[in-house]
Amino acid sequence: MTAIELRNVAKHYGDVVALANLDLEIDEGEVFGFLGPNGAGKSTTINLLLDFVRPTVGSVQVLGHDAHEESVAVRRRTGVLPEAFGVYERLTGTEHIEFAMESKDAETNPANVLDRVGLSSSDAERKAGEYSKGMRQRLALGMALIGEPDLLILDEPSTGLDPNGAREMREIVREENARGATVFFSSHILGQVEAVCDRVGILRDGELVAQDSVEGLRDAVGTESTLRISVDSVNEAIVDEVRALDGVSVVDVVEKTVEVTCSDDAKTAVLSTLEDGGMAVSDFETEEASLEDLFAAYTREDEPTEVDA
Amino acid sequence: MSWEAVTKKDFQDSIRSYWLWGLSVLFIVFFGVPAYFFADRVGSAAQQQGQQLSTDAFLNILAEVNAFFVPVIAIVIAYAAIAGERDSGTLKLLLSLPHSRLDVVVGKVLGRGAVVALPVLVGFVVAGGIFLVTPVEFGYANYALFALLTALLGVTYVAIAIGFSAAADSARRAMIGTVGIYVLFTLLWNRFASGLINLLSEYADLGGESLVSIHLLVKVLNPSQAYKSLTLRLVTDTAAQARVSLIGGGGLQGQLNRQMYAQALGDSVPFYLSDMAVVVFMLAWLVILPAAGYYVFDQADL
Repeated sequence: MTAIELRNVAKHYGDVVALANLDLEIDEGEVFGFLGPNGAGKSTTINLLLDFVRPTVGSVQVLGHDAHEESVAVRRRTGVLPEAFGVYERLTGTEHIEFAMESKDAETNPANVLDRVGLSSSDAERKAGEYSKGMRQRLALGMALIGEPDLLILDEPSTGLDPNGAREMREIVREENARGATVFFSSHILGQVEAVCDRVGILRDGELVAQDSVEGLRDAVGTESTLRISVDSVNEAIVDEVRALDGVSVVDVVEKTVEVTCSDDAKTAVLSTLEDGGMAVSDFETEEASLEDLFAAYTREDEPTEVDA
Repeated sequence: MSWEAVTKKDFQDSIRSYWLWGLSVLFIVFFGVPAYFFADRVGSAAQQQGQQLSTDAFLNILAEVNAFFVPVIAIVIAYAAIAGERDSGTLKLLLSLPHSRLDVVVGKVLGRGAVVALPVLVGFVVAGGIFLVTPVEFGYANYALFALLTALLGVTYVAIAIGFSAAADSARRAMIGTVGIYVLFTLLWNRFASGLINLLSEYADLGGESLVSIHLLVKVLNPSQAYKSLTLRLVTDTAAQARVSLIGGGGLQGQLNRQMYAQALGDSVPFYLSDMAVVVFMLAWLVILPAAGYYVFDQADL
């Protein structure tokens, strides 16, 4: 069964394209990490799932329901930790949980829920207006967990949490997944998702540039390395030729250094293409690319990056 | 229904913010203190002259003030109900839970409506207690109806403000909208109504009776004036008297105008000026702006 299905979805805000031709399918029971730099369109995608915004084109299905037409049905079975949310300043932690329980017709003990997300019994009776950013994040996670949802949507869940809090968050994601919940969560930091995700999608400038299992990405990384080549001059046309070579996934030029991420077989071709094109190589070093490098390469903000995913 | 959860949370929030208590105290003072002086001074003066004064006279004085004052309270309470949640981001928390946007609008109208209506009623109960221990004759039925109408006026303006709050993308804009409609209904409406009648009498071939009826209709379409006319109806003999009393103007000129209107109207009023019609107009405001606000809210990207 498919928990989330986006078909050919685009979202425009006036002239700004927040999302372009997004196709995404997430199976039930999966933990899916949605990665990308800030502003890539992660929150827009999540807002589409929750019917906070509507797609300009395309269809969005969540748990077998149309995300817009049957949004309440979707949210009845979904727990959400939204991004850039506010808490009810005057209501206590417990009252927040009780509101979520009433809204979802769920019976549970608020104290246990709060304890699970790391809020103490004295925190529970304090007004949420006095909470720190991290505590608010924990509170909203607690609200999301109410009613054993079939789907958890967590938008940048580690925001405001210290490393320990982020670890507890991942622990809860694992537990919820073990219970049978599908988890969809976004982050701009790879480290937070790679340990817990079955699959990741990488979003850049409103487009999905990669979608693979973490192992798959790792395998891709394992056979690739990064060449850091110092040259005497840069000729864009030649750089483009390098980009077009088989086995080359990312080419980046920083002043007089060309960084090429490519398969090991392609290294020689890269160097000879540069030399033949008149870009004299003065020095080069090779580095095994890590998953972090790959993610950085996929999501780098500056322009001369091309991705073959 | 999930609007209940929204209403309950909103009401709970109002208790915590002391609005409910503050307003209760305000209305107790606002109704109670004048009640005390009315009973003490006016009551005893009237008795000395051998007249029996009833609470109806007190209500007459209060109606005019309430029509200005209660809407202001309602607007302050309600204008940010939804737009403010949009500003602070709590709307995301709210709509992450299984509430539709309609639940939010309905829940807010009821929650904030209660926050205004309950203190109004508490104020009337306390003021009523004062009348009980004074020699002023207590017209129970009129007093209770007046209290209910005043609460309804408050809830009506809450609904109007919620309509703007749902449509606006920030609390500031919602405030501009609600203040605008308050000014329109309270300060500009009579001019608007007179202007319209002048135009009609100039360009349309309508008899005096039609013009008078239309003029009064335009007036009672305004919820504040509907309130005034309905409260007056508690003490007038006919519906016509209560409608004609909306024709303003002090002194002799005003009196002449009202006489002229009363003559044109005769003893009976057309159905659209009947008490029932005026009640319906007032109730319609409970729905019209929230519905329009919901329509805009439902289309909006949050």
